[in-house]
Amino acid sequence: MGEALYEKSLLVLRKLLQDGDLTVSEVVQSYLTRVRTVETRVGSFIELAEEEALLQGAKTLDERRSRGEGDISHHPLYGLPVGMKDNIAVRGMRMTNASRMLEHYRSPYDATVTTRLREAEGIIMGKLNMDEFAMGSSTETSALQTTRNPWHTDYVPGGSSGGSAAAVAAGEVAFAFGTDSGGSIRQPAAYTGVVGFKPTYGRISRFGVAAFASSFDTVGFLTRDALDAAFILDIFSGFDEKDTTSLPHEPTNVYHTLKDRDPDTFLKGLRIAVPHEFMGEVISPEVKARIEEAFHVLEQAGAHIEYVHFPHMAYAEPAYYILTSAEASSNMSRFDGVRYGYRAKDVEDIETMFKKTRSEGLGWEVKRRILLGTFSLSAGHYEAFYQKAQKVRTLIHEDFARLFADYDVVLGPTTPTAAFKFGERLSDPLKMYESDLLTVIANLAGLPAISVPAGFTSAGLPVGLQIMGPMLGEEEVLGVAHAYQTLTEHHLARPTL
Amino acid sequence: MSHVTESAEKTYETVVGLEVHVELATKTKLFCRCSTTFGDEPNANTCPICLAHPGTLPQLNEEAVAYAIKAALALGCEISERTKFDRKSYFYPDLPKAYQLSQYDQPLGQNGKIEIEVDGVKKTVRIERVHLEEDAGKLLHTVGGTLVDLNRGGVPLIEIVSAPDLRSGKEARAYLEKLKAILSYTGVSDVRMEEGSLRCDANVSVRPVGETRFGTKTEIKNMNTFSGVEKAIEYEAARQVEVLKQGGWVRQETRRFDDARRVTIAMRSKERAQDYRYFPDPDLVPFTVSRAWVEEIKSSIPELPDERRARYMAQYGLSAYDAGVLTLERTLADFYESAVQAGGDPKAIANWLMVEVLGHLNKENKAITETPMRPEHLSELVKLIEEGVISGKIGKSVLPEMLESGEAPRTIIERKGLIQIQDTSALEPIIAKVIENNPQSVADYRAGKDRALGFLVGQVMKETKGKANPQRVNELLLKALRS
Amino acid sequence: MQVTRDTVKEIADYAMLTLNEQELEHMVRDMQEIVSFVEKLNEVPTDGVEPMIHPVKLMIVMHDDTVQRTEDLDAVLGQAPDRSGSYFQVPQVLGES
Repeated sequence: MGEALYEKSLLVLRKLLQDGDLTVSEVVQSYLTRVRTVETRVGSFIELAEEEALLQGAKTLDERRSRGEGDISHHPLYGLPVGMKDNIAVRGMRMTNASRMLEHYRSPYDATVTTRLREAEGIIMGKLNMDEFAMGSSTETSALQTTRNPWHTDYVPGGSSGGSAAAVAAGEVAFAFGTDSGGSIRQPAAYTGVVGFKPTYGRISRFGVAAFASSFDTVGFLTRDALDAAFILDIFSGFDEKDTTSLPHEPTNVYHTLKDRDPDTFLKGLRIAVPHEFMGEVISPEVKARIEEAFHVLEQAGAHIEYVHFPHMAYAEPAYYILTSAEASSNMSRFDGVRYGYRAKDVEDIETMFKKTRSEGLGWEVKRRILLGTFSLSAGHYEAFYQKAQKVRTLIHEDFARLFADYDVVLGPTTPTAAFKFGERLSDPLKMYESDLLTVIANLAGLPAISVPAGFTSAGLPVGLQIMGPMLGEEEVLGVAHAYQTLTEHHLARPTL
Repeated sequence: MSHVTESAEKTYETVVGLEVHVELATKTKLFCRCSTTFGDEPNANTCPICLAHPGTLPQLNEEAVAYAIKAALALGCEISERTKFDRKSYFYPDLPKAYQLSQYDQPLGQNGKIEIEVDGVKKTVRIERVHLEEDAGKLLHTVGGTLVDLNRGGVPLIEIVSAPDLRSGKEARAYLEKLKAILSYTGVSDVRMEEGSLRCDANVSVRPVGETRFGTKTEIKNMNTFSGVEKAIEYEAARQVEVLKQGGWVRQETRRFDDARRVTIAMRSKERAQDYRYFPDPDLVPFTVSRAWVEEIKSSIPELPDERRARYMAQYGLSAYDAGVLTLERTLADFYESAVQAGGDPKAIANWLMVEVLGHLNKENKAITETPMRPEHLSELVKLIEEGVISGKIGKSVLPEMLESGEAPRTIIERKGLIQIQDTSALEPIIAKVIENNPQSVADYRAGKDRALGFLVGQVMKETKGKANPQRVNELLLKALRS
Repeated sequence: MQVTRDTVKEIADYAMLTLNEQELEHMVRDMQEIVSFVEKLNEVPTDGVEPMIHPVKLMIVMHDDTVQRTEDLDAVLGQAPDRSGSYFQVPQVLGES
């Protein structure tokens, strides 16, 4: 096959480990070598776990196995290297959120996903770069470092889970956790040619995940293919008593359904809706072409594609920015320099301490959203801005409900264009927000959605196909993604670094 | 019953509404599992959740919700079926998230009422709302800076807001006493004033009698004694009347009460108005309080002070006043009830409890729960007196020891040899001796001077070191003198 | 609506943020652009529409009233920039000392 270890999908790697064809030490060593080789160019990691500790941990697992102890089938991620977005708490590791405010903060506890990851015996490789507090679409708002697109290092990896996407694309981890509040998993996945999956809101516990916008934030994954995503979802989904906003459901069981399913039978008669609004003028011709090719593949396999209207599409972004900024303004207020994190020097009184700490510790984009959010919640603006946006959210929810009464999934591009160059959009907030144009609606409605690789632009930049499903419709979303991937090879392409 | 202040031209009345914060008696905080124990090392009872570390989420304490519902029901409120928590935003070092989780437009309870009685006049005070919220931490201001202890941060509180139905400091005090009684009866709070578990803000305004609109109000913040609230309101109302009489106007402001100087003082007013930016907490799901749950809680509410007071009057023949005093605190009422059940005259027990026991405890600044004396012991003491085993005087003399040591009265009087001499054969020789030693008094008595009898009784008592039953001595003396 | 310097200054004050002259000017411009953009929502008739707090149907689960001690409390409290004993220490609260 000639494929390097770090290029293999999670499930392939897992099989090799399970069958004893590979040791954990070999896997970890291979990934460490890969990280050493490419990290200076990619810059995904805010913190890489200590090499010695990683190797020692791997050795312990191998020794246990060779003694015949411990049934690894109980540990579904046994020995697999995983990356964590830096807004997820891993006890003892940094949790900077790519902010000066938390530059030296180490989490004193584990997020629920981290606990489950440890139980599954995944290997935590480190913490990955992101936009500051997940506010941004290019990972350029990180106050700590620059992450580059592995396909072309002049281009951004997207954001906010840019470090997670780049790490998976560059083969630095077998998969990575991300969070998606308006496209923060799917958009960087599209830009870096990997799979980015955001489940239904509440499907995975948010406990231990720094909040950006609580009613939008969704934990998900960046993987090599859709089947990997299904496998991981089954491990991490399910109710968590520490998160009252987690769905009161059992863990999913998507992987086994998908694994043995014949893609053609599944796609035959599948009803697919494509909103006109997703394919309009704002979509670059090259992206549009790739997406139409994808439609063609699905139609060839027997799916029915129909163009429909999504009435409130134009209002999704304004509603999204008001609501997420309002929640963010409140979620960010705990960073006051009292109990942890950065505190400004030489301040005489408490109010000056608060102001100086926050002004020095938080970046421009974060401040801008805090101000927009504070404005939307303040007396005299609450009804016209915050509450109005909440009502529009209801209308968008209803648009989707109508659509899913007649269709199984909704398709379109993940982003209007492929990745852009550093600095190209940073100074223009609205231009930057445009990259989330097609992704925020899934978060407004809480729906599951995925971005899968759908080819490249002429400049060699990846393009993502987005699949959205109904509430709790992870099986439909992952099912279509998996079927598409059995018919295409875009997801097998790897960047040359 | 309006409290009116006379002035040259106009008569003013005081209008008061109270906002009372009461800490609930749960073992853990409202949104995390930290202990609510009072007096521990600073920050010993904290965790990443109540310290607002990044990534943490609130987890709602079921017992706190149940207690809040119970309190609201005991205050006659309707319970909202749909309710939620809202964020109230402001920066302060005692508030880790920089927002307090409270309930804004869907409080747990609404439209309740409390009956109060002042100077024999009954009055209904409406309660607008009862809602659940979290407490803030404590700040300690030192020369070098401010110290922050977040052990109280996140402790569940209920806020009880009255309508502006109170008309004097005295009424406010009666309201607070009744409120405290109801809350301690239901067991939702220990209502320990000295630990600050009940705090009160008063909205005070004055208006000419007959005026239906409200005057401009001031808010007096953070009072934690009932007498302080009464005095503060009286002072503040008088101050406002004085301002108006001088032709000035009352400024809407926040004031605090200086207990030592007995005046209210305007607090440093912020240059800008506060804007709390309330909005529904997206980290906590709005929730439904099921009818079944409300019914279950309702059935667990014990007999409340008003009902118990009425029962004590009917069942034990107590006066309204005595029944009122005995039922103000549940612990006292329970003590009384247990004592009565152990036997003895209910009225006598009430008297002993109110006068002697409370008198002694008040001097020591103790509550009924802080003495080892058992209710059965009080009952025994009253019975010993009724049966003539000891005199009332002896009873009073052994009570302090009962309260200190928790010993049964019989044990004490036996040890000290205080049992009354009732035995005729033991008393007769002593009486004979007294008659023999006091011929003058005997002669006086026989001459018709009744006072002489008292002297002779006294002599017998002296001889017996007070242990003789005075009534018995009286009888035997008369018999001896007549013979 | 017009976003003025005063509005931004007031909002910044609520949010405990300070902006220097240059930042203030920049922020007024950005905010104006964003506010004009989001005001597009005014076109949508929303009479009688319920505001949405969460996009999915959730059910609250409450915790029971048993105490849980914090594991390694020192690691939690030790994150503070300044402490005095086991207190957190902050600069003076004006008007309170």
